[in-house]
Amino acid sequence: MIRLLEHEGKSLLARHGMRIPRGALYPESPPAGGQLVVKAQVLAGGRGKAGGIEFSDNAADAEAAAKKMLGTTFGAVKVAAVYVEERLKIAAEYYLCAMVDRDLGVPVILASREGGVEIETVAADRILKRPVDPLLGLRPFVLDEIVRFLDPPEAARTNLRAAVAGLYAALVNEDAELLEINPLALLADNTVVAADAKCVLDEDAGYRHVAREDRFDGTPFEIAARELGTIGIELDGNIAAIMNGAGMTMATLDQVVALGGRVGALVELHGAMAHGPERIAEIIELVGKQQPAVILLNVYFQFRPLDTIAKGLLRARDRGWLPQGCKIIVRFRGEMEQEARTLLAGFDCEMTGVFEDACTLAVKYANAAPRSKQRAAIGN
Amino acid sequence: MSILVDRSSRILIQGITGATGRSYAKRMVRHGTPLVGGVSPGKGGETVEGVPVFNTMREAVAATGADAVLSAVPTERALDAVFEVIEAGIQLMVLYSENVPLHDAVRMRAYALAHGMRLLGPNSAGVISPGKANLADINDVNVVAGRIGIVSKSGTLSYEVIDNLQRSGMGESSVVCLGGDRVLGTGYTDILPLFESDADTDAIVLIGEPGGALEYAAAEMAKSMKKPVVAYITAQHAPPEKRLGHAGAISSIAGAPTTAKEKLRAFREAGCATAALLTEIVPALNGAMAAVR
Repeated sequence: MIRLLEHEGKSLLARHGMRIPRGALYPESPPAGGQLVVKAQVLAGGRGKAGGIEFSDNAADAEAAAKKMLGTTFGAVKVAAVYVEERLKIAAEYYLCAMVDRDLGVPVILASREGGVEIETVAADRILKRPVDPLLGLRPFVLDEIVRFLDPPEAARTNLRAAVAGLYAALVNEDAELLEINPLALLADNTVVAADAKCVLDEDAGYRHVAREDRFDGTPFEIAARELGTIGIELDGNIAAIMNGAGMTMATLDQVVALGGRVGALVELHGAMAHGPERIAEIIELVGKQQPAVILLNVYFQFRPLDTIAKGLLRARDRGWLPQGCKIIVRFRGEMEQEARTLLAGFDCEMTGVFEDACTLAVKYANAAPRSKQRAAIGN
Repeated sequence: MSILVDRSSRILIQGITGATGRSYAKRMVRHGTPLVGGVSPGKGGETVEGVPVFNTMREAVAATGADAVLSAVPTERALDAVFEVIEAGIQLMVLYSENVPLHDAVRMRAYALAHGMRLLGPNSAGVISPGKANLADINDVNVVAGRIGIVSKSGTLSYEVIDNLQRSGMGESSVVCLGGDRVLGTGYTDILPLFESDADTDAIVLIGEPGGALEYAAAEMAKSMKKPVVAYITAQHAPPEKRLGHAGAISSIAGAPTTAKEKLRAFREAGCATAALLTEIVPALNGAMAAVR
């Protein structure tokens, strides 16, 4: 899930023929002449109410507002950029969204005449939800249906139709999960302009868009985990848990919490196994930086060899990457289980083959740990 | 009986000459899964583990009468691979590839539905009918035949449930993994009726996750089923809006509630036995089966 800032989203839409207001990223020069809007570029919702949008009568006022806005915060989010654009003369505001509906399994277009307000507050019968057959694409009869629902002035029909078509083209060709325009502005001259843009792109399609940079949301720990080919989540407990598979990861968290334990680092090995024992050692080094009381390895492999994990553990120990006073719990089940257990024969850990026994041991040791090890050292 | 695959299946491996394809072929032949051939463009005429390799899916189907495919192709080729399998008239396909782009999943699902092919995945650990046929990422030695059906989004949780059942003396008629992605070829409600009418299945364990509404549809269907459905929904304690490894397992805090807790409640209200933890599944299953007798 890659979320774009408003100005990034707008330039993406413009590539597919949607009209956007003229604008520039501060301190570049804003569009010359006329009134301006100064907008904080943050992903947080409710930006307008929180003072993230200011109207200015001229370029000097806009610059002053932009300067003041830069570096302020919305909740926990710092304003990293300020976008200044022309102020639109809006005659009507529509809501328009193209997204993949995961339950229907197809793209849908959402449209309403009641734009410019939070869509959750609009009555369901005032919103058109039109599924699109992905094998047919957005055919003219579907476009007609959407435009008819929005019922624009006759002189604006062609422009509105082009905007809907452009949005769908952007959804498919940019591999987007969601593109939401609220409001889609109808101007006095009958042009149709995307006054705002919320864009979420599919990170799994990144290989098709080579210019697109990877952007991981998350804490420094979570970003570091991603760079090691794993999926990591930072919480506030004193158990670092490493699992194979998404289901196993979620189930281990549940079991530990149910037993009264608290997880500080949750790591799903994901693609990391392909990189061998060295990568496993690096993952242990990463979670070790949180100074957990317990490192729990809960692994069941049908085909991948468990000895890779055992070798990684030994390597981490030899490098001094295991935190002081940290208890290691290893649950090995599956392929090359005997070999892996033999490798760890002289290694200081508790070993089991059973999921719930491993979780029980982890919680027992974590809750008996000294006060200094009761919380994860977040932010290291 | 069992569902989807059995001894009469005629199975192909797509990408059979790659490392993954070869290892699946070896395992299938060793454990008696009815593998009839494989496809690898440019490798037609070779053999792998004694079965013939063909250049195209159409040739392979014409020569072998195959009806099921396990796909072991790289993610970037997954969409085309699914199209080729559907076009050749196959009935059932397992797509193991993960990180398939969302719009590719949308297209493959639509084409499979339009042509009546059952697609498991993307990101599916496959299907196994123990002792009969194995198109799954599950080692035959870790599973025994029995009378419980499992339908799951997660491969690794299927392993754990299989282990738990085995320790209690139970085995499976079939284990079906739907996949962990947001858009899937097959949902729970496609599989539950097959278990309901399968003479070898006494009860069903359904393994779900946060995110999406497939579990709600399953809970609705379970209301009118004769066989007990035991529902286990993982990630009861998952932080919302975090991707815990499965792209699909994000419970959005906006919109309709799709958290694990809400889903478990839906199954409870549908009259199903439920489990919030892996360790609660066997007791819930025993209770549900005792109530039927």
